[in-house]
Amino acid sequence: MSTHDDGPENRGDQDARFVEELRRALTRALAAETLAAESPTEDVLDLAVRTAARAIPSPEGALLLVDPAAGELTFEIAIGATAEKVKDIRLPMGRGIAGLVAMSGQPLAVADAQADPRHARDVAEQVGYLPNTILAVPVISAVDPDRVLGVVELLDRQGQPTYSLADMELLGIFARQIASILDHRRATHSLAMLVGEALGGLAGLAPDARRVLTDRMNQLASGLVDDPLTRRTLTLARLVEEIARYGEAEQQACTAVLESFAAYLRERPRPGGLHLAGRR
Amino acid sequence: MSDTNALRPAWSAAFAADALASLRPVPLLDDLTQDWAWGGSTGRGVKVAIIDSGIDADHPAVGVVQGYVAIREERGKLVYDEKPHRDAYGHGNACAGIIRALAPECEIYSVKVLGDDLTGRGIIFATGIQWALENGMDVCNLSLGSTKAEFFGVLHELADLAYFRHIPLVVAANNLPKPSYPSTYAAVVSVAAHEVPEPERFYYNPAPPVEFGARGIDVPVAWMDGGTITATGNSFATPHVTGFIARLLAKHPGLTVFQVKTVLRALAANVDRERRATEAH
Repeated sequence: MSTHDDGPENRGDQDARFVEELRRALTRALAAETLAAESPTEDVLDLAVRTAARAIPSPEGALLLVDPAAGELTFEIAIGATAEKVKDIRLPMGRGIAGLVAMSGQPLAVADAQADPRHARDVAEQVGYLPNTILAVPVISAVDPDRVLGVVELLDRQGQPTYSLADMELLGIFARQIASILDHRRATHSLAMLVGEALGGLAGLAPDARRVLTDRMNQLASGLVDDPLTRRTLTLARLVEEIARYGEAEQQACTAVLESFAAYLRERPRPGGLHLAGRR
Repeated sequence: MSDTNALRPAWSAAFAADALASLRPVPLLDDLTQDWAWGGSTGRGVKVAIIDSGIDADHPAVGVVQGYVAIREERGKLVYDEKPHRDAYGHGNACAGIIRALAPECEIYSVKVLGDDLTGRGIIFATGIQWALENGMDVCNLSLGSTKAEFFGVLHELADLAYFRHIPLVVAANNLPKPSYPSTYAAVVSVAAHEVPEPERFYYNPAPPVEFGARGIDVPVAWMDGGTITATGNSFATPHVTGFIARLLAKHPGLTVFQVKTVLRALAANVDRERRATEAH
């Protein structure tokens, strides 16, 4: 038997090899993505918070990101003495100064926070740190101005008793820079996710369907992320991938169903399209 | 022509001889005093809508809350919940406490538009203003706004409607250098913070969009769980002006929005009463 034989007895092996190659390509792509984009993004965010804390003298600072699905704020960047302690804390959106700022999209400065620790209870209790003064400014997406991406917060103003309006304006400028970094990161991340899902969906597909998907992915690479057909194809790919995870019998059943449906479609006259009048 | 009325555009009808309203004389602006405007007034009976994060009626700085509506979206529909609610953040309490201190006998209505989820804020905010306009409120405090262009038109229409119904919308200017609606509209009373720690002191800005300045830096305000904090922001300047207007309307019911603005302009602390400056606005 020739190695170029495309007989059905070898298809399983070829599929496995194809999927393996794709998986490796994906791993490489994601690794490259991670190296090329993710780490510097974090560095730039860290730098932005540090620079803000230096410009508006403050020993502690943080960037919290909104997790809309969980209704929580998470610490993306934290600098100062409490940095390590707050990293894993998740704050409910419903309470606290950062939650209010995230919700209202308006900055807020608080003095005498120590006199009434209620607002900072969630963090303060876990970290054991009570700030005297707080300045929190929303990070609003430049792409979607109704979307608050997070909150940048400074604690314990040095050199003056409280945070001033000028401090608020200055931190607002840092917040805009942070927003543009986050907007860019989100766009890159969603593209990587889509490609990843498409590749995952290839496993267990018939060659014809695979070719269709490969073509679709080429379009994706050309930047057609918002194409509705692309999205529907990805949905289909996700479903197939889900079914494939159940096992070989399920994969075979799924393939059989899809193949018969595709065969039926090939035979069916296309609605609205040209078909031969004399067709038998 | 025999019938001029028939040719007159509909909006001229108010100025037809038989329909023309008789107006009270406007006193000379120099003669306007705080005593005339709100001397002895406690804001009694004036309905103040606080469109915000809710209000805790049991907060000692807030006192009685006469009415509630919490607006939220459930399965694509707007729900108006008129049961008593609480303040989700403390921000509504802060506004209510400032207004209560300046106009102790006004009637406070909590219109809760800031809830616990992040979706649909613009439309819920607009609906909150609409509720206030349709439910007999005399003045509305809006220590919040929307920066989304999508809501520019809707909020503009509501601001104009409020103006024509003689219901001042007292709106905080954005604390960030970006226009926030409806604070930028001429029909509203827009407010930003000044730095003087005096609650009764307010300024007029002859170069709007922000027309008035009131105390907004390090203001002691009511917050959550019956507590207080010291906070900074235009959000806290706004309820000061709402409080002045509540006192004014209690003493002079039925003033239009432009009259209210005129009185505030006349009484502003930066009016050059001695005529010392070479250029005054």
